[in-house]
Amino acid sequence: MNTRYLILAASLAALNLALGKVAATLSLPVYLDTIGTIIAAVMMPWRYAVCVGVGTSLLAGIIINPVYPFYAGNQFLIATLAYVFVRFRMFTAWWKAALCGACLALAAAIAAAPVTVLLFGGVTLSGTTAINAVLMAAGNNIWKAVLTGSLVIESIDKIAACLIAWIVLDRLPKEMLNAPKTADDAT
Amino acid sequence: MSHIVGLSRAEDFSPKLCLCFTVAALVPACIPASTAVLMGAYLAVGVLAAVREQGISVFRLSAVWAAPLAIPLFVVHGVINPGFSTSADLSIPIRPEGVEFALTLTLKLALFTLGIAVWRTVTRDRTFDALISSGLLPQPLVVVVTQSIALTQLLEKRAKAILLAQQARGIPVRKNFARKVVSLPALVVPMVVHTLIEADVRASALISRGLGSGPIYPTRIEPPLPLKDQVLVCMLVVIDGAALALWALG
Repeated sequence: MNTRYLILAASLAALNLALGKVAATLSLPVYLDTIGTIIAAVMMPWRYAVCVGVGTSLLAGIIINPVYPFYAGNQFLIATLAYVFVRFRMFTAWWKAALCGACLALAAAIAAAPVTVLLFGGVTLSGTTAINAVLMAAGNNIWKAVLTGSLVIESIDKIAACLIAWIVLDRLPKEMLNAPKTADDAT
Repeated sequence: MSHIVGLSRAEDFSPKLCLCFTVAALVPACIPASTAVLMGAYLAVGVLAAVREQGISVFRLSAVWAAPLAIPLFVVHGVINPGFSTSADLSIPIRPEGVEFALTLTLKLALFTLGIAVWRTVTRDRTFDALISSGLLPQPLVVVVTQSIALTQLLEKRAKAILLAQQARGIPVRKNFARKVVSLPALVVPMVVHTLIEADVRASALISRGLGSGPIYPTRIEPPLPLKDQVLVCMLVVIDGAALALWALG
């Protein structure tokens, strides 16, 4: 057990939850609950990044609303993809970070749509429902409406999250990105 | 832990009893049962929880959680969704099949939230501590969960403080959408930096107290359920059995 990684993972999961609540307080049409997951992918091994993402969903289920854990798969996907992007050095320039955000948005929208349609009848807790409803009223079927609505919101959210992650990582001392490495990490 | 517990005046439910209530609520929600069966299961499990709790906190929290999803469900499927046909008898475009679909889904969501609400409303610090110190959960999981919950509160306070400080400096964090997005880094970057510093301080403090070198808390064995709770568990089994039997019989 690497205590530093564990505490950092817990802190970044808490950051996701706190930013999610701030976004709701400011009435922003974005979630901001993946910034911690993306930063975790940059600073820690893959399993800890996944722990941050999935942990965020599970804890939001306890603290905010029990529907959040159903989107744990979404967070898993985001953590994994962000980790892959980091390994390909995609967080070294703002435009690369924005590109990562667009890819993450596409993946997140595709992963979230089946959960939203099959479990919640196309309704979510965020403002996406309003967009879905408008698209359905325009004659689209529920799958197309949910996928399009999710894609619109996720594009804003994930690109913003990746750009903010890039700004933060750009300002951090370089040694801090690998700081938690200790002897037991090698095991 | 005060923000996730403590609406009820009743004595604690043990984690085992909470688990039984959760299973009893989730079984009917997971089968394709009729609305009558779902409604009956919701009321039966809810009433038993209310009797045991000596209050209606479970019902109340379940409603608070389910309502934000239930209302849009009725609007979207009962009025908007073109996948369901409208009734020719009514002047307003109500879709009866959509209303039925929304009602079924709402009841399933209500049952699900009821099963989870038991954990939030009738467990107190002692029960949560008992779950942690029972040794059933792996230590890394306990560390992550407890630290996350504690830090979430801290970071929320920090976010509010940063928000006020940035507003005082003239950064328009509450103006129109475009300005909100532009001013996001002014809020988020200090929060992330604060989080990383806090994580470093906490990790050092916990390592110095022995975390990472073996279990740091004593384990204890949960006592068996009292007789009244055993009766309650039997009643919950009967409710689930009835729901499954009605479903099987069509």
